[in-house]
This record gives sequence, C-alpha cells and structure tokens, in this order.
Amino acid sequence: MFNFFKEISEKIDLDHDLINEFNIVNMSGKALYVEGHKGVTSISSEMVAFKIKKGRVVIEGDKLTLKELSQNTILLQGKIKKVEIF
Amino acid sequence: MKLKNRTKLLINGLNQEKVLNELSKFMPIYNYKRLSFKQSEFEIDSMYLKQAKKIVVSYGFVIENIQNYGVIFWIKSLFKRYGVFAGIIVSLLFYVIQYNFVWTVNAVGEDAQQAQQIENYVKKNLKSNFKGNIDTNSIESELRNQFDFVSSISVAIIGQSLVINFNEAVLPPEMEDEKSPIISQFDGLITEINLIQGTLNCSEGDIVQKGDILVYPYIIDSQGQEMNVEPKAEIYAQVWYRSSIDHYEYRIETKRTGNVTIKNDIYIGGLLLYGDSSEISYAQYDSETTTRTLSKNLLLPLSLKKTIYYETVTEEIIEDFESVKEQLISKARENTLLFLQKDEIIKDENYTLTGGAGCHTITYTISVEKDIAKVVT
Repeated sequence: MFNFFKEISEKIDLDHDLINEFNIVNMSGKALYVEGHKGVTSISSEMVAFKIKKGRVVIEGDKLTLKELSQNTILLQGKIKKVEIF
Repeated sequence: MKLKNRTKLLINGLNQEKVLNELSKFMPIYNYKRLSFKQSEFEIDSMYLKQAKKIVVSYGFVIENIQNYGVIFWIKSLFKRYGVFAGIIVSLLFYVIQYNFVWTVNAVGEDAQQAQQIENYVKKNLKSNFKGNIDTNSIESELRNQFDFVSSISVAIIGQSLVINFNEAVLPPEMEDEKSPIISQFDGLITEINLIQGTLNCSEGDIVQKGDILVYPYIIDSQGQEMNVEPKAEIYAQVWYRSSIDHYEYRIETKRTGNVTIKNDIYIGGLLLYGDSSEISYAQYDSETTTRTLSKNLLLPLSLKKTIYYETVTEEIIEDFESVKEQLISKARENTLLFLQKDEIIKDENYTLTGGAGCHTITYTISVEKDIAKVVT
C-alpha cells in the first residue's frame, strides 16, 4: 500500500520527526487508514489495537476487518465507533 | 476471478498478532480475519508464499489450508479440473495455427523418378511454408521452364500438402521423325547465307519477315525423293529496330504530385471486418489496389485489401516542337536501343520526322547484322 502522508511530507520537505509520527484518517466511520504504526497488539472483529511511537491506539467498532496491513500502514474496514489514543 | 495472484492462508496457533506483525515486515497482508482465538485467515501475494510459510512455521503455527487465486492459478486449475476441454482448446488453437502452413510436397506423375525430382526441386526452392506466401502459378511456370519433360502441370494446395500433378511430354509416333524448319525470328534484309543442311527458301538480298520459313527440313536426293533432315544454317541479315515518339504542341497531361494516402481494409471470407472509413482529401487522384491473403484456412479466411491513392493534377501544356526536338530524338534513340540484344553491333542508325499542324512523330531506326536462323521446336 502507498504511504500517503509520508509521500506528502517528503514533497513539502517536512521535518523528519514529523514524518515518523503517526497519522489516522477516519473515513465517515466506515473505514480507517493508519500510517506510522509500530505493530498490531490485539485484533478481533470488535477491537483493533496497535502501537505508535509514543503510545497506543485502540479502535472499537463492529465487523472490523483488516483489509490491508504492511509494515507502516493499516487499512481497517467496518463500523468505527471509537478511536482512543493513549 | 481476481487478476492478481494471491494466496489465502488459514493458520492455527497462539499469539496471532506477533506472527501478523512479523509477516507485515516482509510483505503486505490483505483481508485478515480472526476466526477464533487461535485461528485466522489472510491473503498474501503469491510470490511471498514460500517466505510466509517459513515465518509462520518458525513461530510454531500450523498452516491448515492454502488456497490460490488469480489468472495463473485459474489456468492451472483449468488444466487440472478440465483437462479434456483445455486439451481440446489447445489442440484447436494448434490446428488453426498449423493449418496455415504447408508441410508436405507431393508430385504425381507417370514416372516416379521424375516425380521425385520435381518434389526435391520444389522442397529446395520453396521460400516459405506459409500458405499465404506460396504462389502456385509461379511454381507452375518455374517447373515448366525447369523441366523439359513436363508438358502440362498443375500445382494446388490441398490441406497441408502442396500437390503437383504433371504430365510427361511424349510425342506421338507419327511426329517422331518430323523436323521443324528454320524460321526467321526478325524482319530483315538477308546479307549472307551459310547452309549446312536442309533446303533453302531464301537467298541473299531477300527481305524476310518474322515467321517466314528460311530453310526446309528436308533435302532432295539423287532420285528426286524428299529426305527428312535436321535443318542447319547460318543466315545473317540486316535487322532493323524501330521506335516512335509522338509530340503534340498542345496537350493535357495528368501528373502525380507525390502525395500518397494508404487505406487498409481487412476482410473475413469476403465480408468486411475492418474498414478505413477516412475520406480522401484529394480533388483528383489515381488509385492502385492489391489484395493479400493473410491466412488460408476455413476458420479464419482473412485477407488484407490495400488501396494506395496518389494525388494527381491536370496540366495544360503548350510546347513548341523545335524547342524539344533534340531531346525527343535522343529519347527515341534510347527507346530503340532497348530492343538491342547482347553483343549486337550497330551498323547504321537514322530517324525520320513526319507530321505537322501541331503533331509530330519521330521514328528512330537502328540496323544491326545478326544470325536470324533459329530452329523453332
């Protein structure tokens, strides 16, 4: 999968630290795109959790499926109810 | 059917997330589904299967099922599941392709040795085995020229064979002793005769025309009887070659401008399959059409019709004869020289000018001396 935010950051010559930060895009509560995760910690159809650089993100919802997972990105599909960053 | 080649894995083991993270470092993972605490399924690109298996097994997981998707796997499964149908399709394709080629050459005649000789010659000289490139008419004429024993011949492509039917040239018994007379091959004035054998029908100073008999194929013996012999003689004559050029002081000429448009139409069995419908922008043009067979078979009888359109212009020309007279004379001479054969020596040359009232004709004549005696068989 393409690294959307990473490519934009590189094009506008953003600070290197910012590139390494994570970005989350919630698409109308029906899909979620994450860039910059550091590994999935828990996964089920109601909850997906993953690590970020300085913390953890927990996503709760219904019928969650991991449509695509790569070293840097996650694409989740399903009804997104809650996104919590710790 | 998915176009991309993917493999679906069903794995069983503890700590699914750890394996998932490890796999994602090396390859993208698609459609991950957690089926139970210990069981999950996901897809990967098929090219990573070997690597994925290694990682999964190294974590103590069991791969319970492997399923492949995509075009390549679909073709593979087609061969596995529908082997017979796939075989028929492949055979059909093979048949259609190979039907366009000639594989054997069969010569049929009364003499087996001659037939073999013809077969070998054709096999050796066949430029292409593609049916579209084989011109049976030219093979016929080539064989007729090459083999004297052939009187009639027909060449046809039947299936994948080139079949040559020939008849041997056999003279009827009543004609075996007959000899042909020497016949003049040119119009000319006889200058010298060296008779070797036969009876002369001409003498020095005679003007003969092409086709006149020069020497009869017999002699009269001392008893006054005719005896057939092979006529032989050297008969030299002054032969004239002529060429004329007409010139009109006022004329209309149509010339090509050099602009060309090409249109290609493809036909399948006489029906138009693809046609170039673009319009010709030239106000005036000449056209030449050639049709070429692309494949000679009943399944796909394709032919290509190529039409070349040359743009032309019509010009009104007013040209004084005197201004181009010398050019026309030299052109008439060049045209006459074309008739000359190898090693012929020009004895004399001249031209005559006729006409008037805007129209002139230049006739150029070249005289040579040559042997006009030639036996026609």
